[in-house]
Amino acid sequence: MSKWILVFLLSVLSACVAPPKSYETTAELDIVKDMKIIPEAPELDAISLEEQVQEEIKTPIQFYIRVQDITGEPIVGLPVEIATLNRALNPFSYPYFGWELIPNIYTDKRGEIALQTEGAALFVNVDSEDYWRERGFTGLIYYAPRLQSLNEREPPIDKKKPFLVILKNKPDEAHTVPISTGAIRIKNGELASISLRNKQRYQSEQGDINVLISKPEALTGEPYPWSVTINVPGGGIQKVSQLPNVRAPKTGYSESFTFSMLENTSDWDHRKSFYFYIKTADNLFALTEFRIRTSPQPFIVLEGVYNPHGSDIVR
Amino acid sequence: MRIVKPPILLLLLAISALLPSQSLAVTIQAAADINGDGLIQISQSRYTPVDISSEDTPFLFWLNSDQDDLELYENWPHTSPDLSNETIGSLRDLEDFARLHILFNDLPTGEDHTNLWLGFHWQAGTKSHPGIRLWQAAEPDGGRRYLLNEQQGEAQLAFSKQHSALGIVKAQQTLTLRLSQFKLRHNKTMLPLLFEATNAGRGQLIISLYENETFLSSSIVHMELRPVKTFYDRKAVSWPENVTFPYQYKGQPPTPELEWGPETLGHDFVKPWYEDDNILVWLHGWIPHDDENYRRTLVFSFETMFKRLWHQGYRGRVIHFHWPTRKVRGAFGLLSSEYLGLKSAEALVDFASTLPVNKRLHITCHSLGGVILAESLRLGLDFDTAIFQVSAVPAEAFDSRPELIVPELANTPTPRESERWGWADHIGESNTRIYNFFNPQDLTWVGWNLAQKEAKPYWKPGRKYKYYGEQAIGEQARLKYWWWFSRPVKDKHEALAFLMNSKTQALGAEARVGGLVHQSFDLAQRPHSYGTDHVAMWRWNPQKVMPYFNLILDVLNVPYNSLSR
Repeated sequence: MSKWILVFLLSVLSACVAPPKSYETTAELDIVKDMKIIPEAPELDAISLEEQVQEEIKTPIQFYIRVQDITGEPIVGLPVEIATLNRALNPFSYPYFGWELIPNIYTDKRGEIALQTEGAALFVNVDSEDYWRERGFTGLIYYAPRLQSLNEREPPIDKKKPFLVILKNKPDEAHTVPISTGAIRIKNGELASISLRNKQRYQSEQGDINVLISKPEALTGEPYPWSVTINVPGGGIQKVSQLPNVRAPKTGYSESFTFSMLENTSDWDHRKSFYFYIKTADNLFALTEFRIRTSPQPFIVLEGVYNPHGSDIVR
Repeated sequence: MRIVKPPILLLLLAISALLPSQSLAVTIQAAADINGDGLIQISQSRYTPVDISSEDTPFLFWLNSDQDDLELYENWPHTSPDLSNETIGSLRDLEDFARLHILFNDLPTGEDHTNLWLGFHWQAGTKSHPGIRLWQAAEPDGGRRYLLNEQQGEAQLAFSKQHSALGIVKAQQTLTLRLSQFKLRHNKTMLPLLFEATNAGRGQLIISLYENETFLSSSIVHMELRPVKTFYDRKAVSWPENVTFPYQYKGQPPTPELEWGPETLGHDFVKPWYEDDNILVWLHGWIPHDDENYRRTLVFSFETMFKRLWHQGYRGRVIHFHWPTRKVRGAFGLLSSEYLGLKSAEALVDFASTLPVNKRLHITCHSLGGVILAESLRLGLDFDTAIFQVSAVPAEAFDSRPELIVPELANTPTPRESERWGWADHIGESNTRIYNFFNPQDLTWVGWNLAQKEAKPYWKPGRKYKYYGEQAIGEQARLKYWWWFSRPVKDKHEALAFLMNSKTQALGAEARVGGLVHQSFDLAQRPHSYGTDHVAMWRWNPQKVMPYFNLILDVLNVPYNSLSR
């Protein structure tokens, strides 16, 4: 009995203190800053825009979704990733909104999820190892009036008209293979060939990608200039500039990508990560994070997936 | 399996070497992951270094002397250590196994190899008696997935149950196995094995291949097997017995003279031959202070962290720094432990000054270890990297921006400014690159916030800290005792620990913190998804948490192994 009193008291007391919130990490923010999922609103000055954003994150959200298989049977207990854009970034800069992931959202016995919350927009992703999305939208749904024109369809605010997502068993071509190279040492100023497939920790005789990192040989502890060039001979590379889609883009690839960090860059760092779509010379698609580390000895790490079937499905 | 005594075996070897050979030309090459890169490379390759052991560069591994026979976490005390039985106790037990590959060249195909035998024996000094227990690996390519993937780990457990251990190789005892049991099919094929260390010692593991009793080929792997406590260094700060907590003193409390020294726990650290230029100092959190529970916690938490870092390729030195804590029943002792952490920082800084300057110095703390680390940074600790893992230290000590203030925590009589002994900007400046591993879902923060709000200023019957904001500087913080006596608090550590509550979330709960923090990583997010668990990184089975160890190594700029093989 006394235990329950203690639990009750703790609950009451803990309610006095605001629980911590889940904000985006700085790493994620760096990536999102490159994405244009939110319009930049040049017509508004910074103060007006911040005020606007502060208002927009209070927009009431009602959201209904139903997930079923191709026979119309509800899919029960399926995890659905939902995040609300419900805070203004501080310091206030593009993309203006921070988000909060809502944990542990699963479809109920009718395959449905009903959600009432506040925010400028909702990010919804139905993602499963076992299923493939046959039909139905997932992605960003804008609720703030200023942003609603970005919606591809009306937000599902009516319980009787939920978003319908139809899943089917994943086809073979949708099964991707993880890429996890571990750290591959790169000799300063020397071209290294890296394989996406079945190769780890070391460069290959003949890989899919060539990487060149250049930096001063001797480091003094002060910022130094460095650069990386990533080249996909016979294929292409494309920086991820939107929230990664299920399919890699068919077009828009360049043969190489170069990034230079100058020693006087205000946010200078000796490490940097990028997300890329890769199309290899033999037409395999990959979605990969490149981690480039230059201190004290350069190394590169590739984490992601590639599709061994030649399909452009990379998620 | 049959046992052949070494003298007879050697005689057979000698005779067979003298006889004209009409036997098979099959040869074997054996290797372990000597260089820790996650690969066992036997053949020459342009880029991948070959794993060659020698007397000076043996494969080093630890005895499987803990007790991982639970589905989650591990057992204490070790009444039935894992090395004493012929079972792989759990997914967690698999982190106490290493890999051994035997490559066969020119193996006849289309036969079941009933006339071929593999022999394993040790050649070691008379005083050294190494021992290993061998198992067949379930993964045909001898990969590391059993450590990286829960399904593969389960598959190894099931395989090992079905096939049982192959046997023990120890001094004066050869293990002989008929090759046909492994169903090797190809001309050039590899036999993947796992092993656990059962006896400490150093020697050559000699693996020989026979056709009936005719010697065909052999290969040697030099090994050194020893207790895990010899793999990492330990230092400890002890609290003087004649000094108690400051609230016990009616006058000004004495300043404790804290010194650090070695902590052996029955084993000295022995520098491994492969040690590189990295040194990682580990600061534990709020742990039990009695000896038995300290030893248990050390095994459960830190040793597990060490093993996982080792498996992911870390080959620098690791030093466990034991600072005094006070943990009694429930949550009692938290504020006293904050005080002990603040006071221990000087000893830590002193110890750090003894570390070689030409090394890459890293330090990490878990939970309340954030207090001693933050204070050490304030005192000028200058390392390459500091990682605060879900740290129970005010975020405002790193970043005093008002946006981080939690109104419910700020609504107290104590100040937040550092010059008035509050926590805001407590550290000041630091050259150390600071990373924050946070988890807003961690249940710990409910209790921590509660302690900040309700337990400070500290009070107990006959003692009460109070803050009088209207008084002159130096007289504002006071300890009241009995009804009318009081003394000023003249020690900032005493004030911080017992009076000054944080006005922000803990660093380990807060994503927005900037200031001194270079970058933050959210452990509630994939691939970690630690949920409410404060100690998932060592409590959960290795197969679920290995990305965490790559994250640690990544921010230290230390190369690390793949997560897929």
